[in-house]
Amino acid sequence: MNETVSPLLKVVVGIILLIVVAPLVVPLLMSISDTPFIVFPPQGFTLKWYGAVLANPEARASFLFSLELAAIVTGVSLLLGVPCAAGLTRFKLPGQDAILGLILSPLIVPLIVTGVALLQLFAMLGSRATLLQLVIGHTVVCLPYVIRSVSASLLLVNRNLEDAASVLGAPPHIVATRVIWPQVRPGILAGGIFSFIVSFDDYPISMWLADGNHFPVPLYLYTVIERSFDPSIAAIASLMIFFALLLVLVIEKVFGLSLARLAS
Amino acid sequence: MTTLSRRTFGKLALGATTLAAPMGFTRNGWAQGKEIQIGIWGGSQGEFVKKNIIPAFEKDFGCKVTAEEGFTLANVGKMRATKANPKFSVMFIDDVAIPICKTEGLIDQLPSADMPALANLYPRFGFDGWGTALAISVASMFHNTSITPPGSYADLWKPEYAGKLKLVSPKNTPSVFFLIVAAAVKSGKPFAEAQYLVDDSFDKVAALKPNIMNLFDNGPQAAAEVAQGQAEIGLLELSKYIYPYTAKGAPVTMSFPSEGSFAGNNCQVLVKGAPNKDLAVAFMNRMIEPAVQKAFSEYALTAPPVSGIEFSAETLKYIAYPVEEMDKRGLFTPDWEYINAKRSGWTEKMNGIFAV
Repeated sequence: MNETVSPLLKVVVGIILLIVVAPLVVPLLMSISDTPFIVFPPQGFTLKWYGAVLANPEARASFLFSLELAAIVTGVSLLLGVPCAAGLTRFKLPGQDAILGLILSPLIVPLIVTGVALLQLFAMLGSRATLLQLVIGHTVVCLPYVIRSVSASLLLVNRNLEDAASVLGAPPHIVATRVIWPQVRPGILAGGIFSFIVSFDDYPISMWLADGNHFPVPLYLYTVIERSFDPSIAAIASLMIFFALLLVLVIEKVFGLSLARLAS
Repeated sequence: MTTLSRRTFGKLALGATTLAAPMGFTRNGWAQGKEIQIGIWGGSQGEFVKKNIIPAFEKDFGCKVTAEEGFTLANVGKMRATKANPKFSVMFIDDVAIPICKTEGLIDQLPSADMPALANLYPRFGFDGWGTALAISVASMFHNTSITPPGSYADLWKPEYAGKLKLVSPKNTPSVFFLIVAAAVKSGKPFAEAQYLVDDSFDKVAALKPNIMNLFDNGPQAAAEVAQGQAEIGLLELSKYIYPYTAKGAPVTMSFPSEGSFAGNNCQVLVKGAPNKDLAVAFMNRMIEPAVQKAFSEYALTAPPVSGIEFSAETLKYIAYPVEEMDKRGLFTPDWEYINAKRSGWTEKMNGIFAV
């Protein structure tokens, strides 16, 4: 492709990126301040707040638990969401719109209401399995993202290619893996990424369902802010920014994800 | 009929004693292996409960206590949602919510016979047996130390404070204290009478709008912002959120205008139908034991609700203790039953005034 990009567009995109990214620099600067409370601009230079966060067993446990929870939820959401999206886009089912509306409803109902309703349900069932409750709660919220993303990519699949492969003698599993999969892979990957991020960042569902032994990062951050507004909070925020950047880089490296492929 | 020889009886007795030994010879053996879930606050108080009080209690009783950090409204919501099959045994909430929990049948009266530590509790912090206070903070104005704060709340309405004040958000309990202050300034009456005049005082609340820079819903964050000089004065907040910064050397502290101050009572309640109620009661008793209260108060810089604790002069700078000192400072506790019935309407009116 030899499309030329106008200089004006480059400037506009540059300004937008600056507006989006510039605020992320603020916690980075506050995290290196050598003061017992947050100040901006920072005074002095120290990395002790990073050391304090990384050495804190509560912070480590919350971070690892959030990773574990987000990974499980992403797996479950993809296992349920991909077949569901395929069924909804490829077949005509009775009550199809109602099913889709039901699945997407967590995006409409305030999450705090969904969370308290789930807590009430689990209490009525006598459930004490906190991890299972959190996985179910997060999956309810993440599933719509997977289904929307996968459905969109399935609708864009060129059905003529499937027909051509079948006519040329390809069995269904070959059609699925060599013709359909390359076309829907970006959509599934995007759904998985959305699911992971939504679960990792979730506060309102976790607030109702978590307990002291299963305490995700967003809840931990809130309690730390309540305890003391010192630069360790900025250090945690900075570590999360670095983690998000690392995640994007790994995905790019491992899956070869590019903007163009996602957009296709 | 089978007869036992003296030797056989002796063997049986020895065997029974051996079997019973782990229970009889272990202190608090009845609690071994039991587990309770409790809802506590976040902040420095929650941190101390999790890191110090619970591990010692678990060791002494051989039990497991799982603590979930939250805040009053969320903790009440959790009790409501699990009312049919209670998950929590003890909840930490503010005194404002005790009448609500009592009316809704969410809590039980405390079995005073099983709580010897209640003997030292000041009667005013017993809530007729429906809970106990755990920590008392003073709610008042806080300011950057570079300025001289006004001696009266009435001065805050003057134009010289235009855009220099941070006001607590209507969703936080101290916003009720602000409404009572506005009513007191308008009517010239003490807080005890002014609290019943809030409905007629929203014109006074609205008159302060030009002086408000922004609203805050996080006390520690507001304290940090005032310390940095982003605003000169914050109103109103609990001392437990401000004094930890003062003690660290941040240029922020509290002041106590002539109209008086408010008491912010953090409390504990026993959930109705609590799982392992006996262990829950033992935990609540532990929370108000003098040794625990002394350490808890010194860490969070709050006053204990029990008598007979000695504090250093440094700690006494930040807390109103004993109860005679609370009275001397005129710490006012509002009529929460009256206010709770009005609160949603007041919140709506405040939102209407301060909405962007």
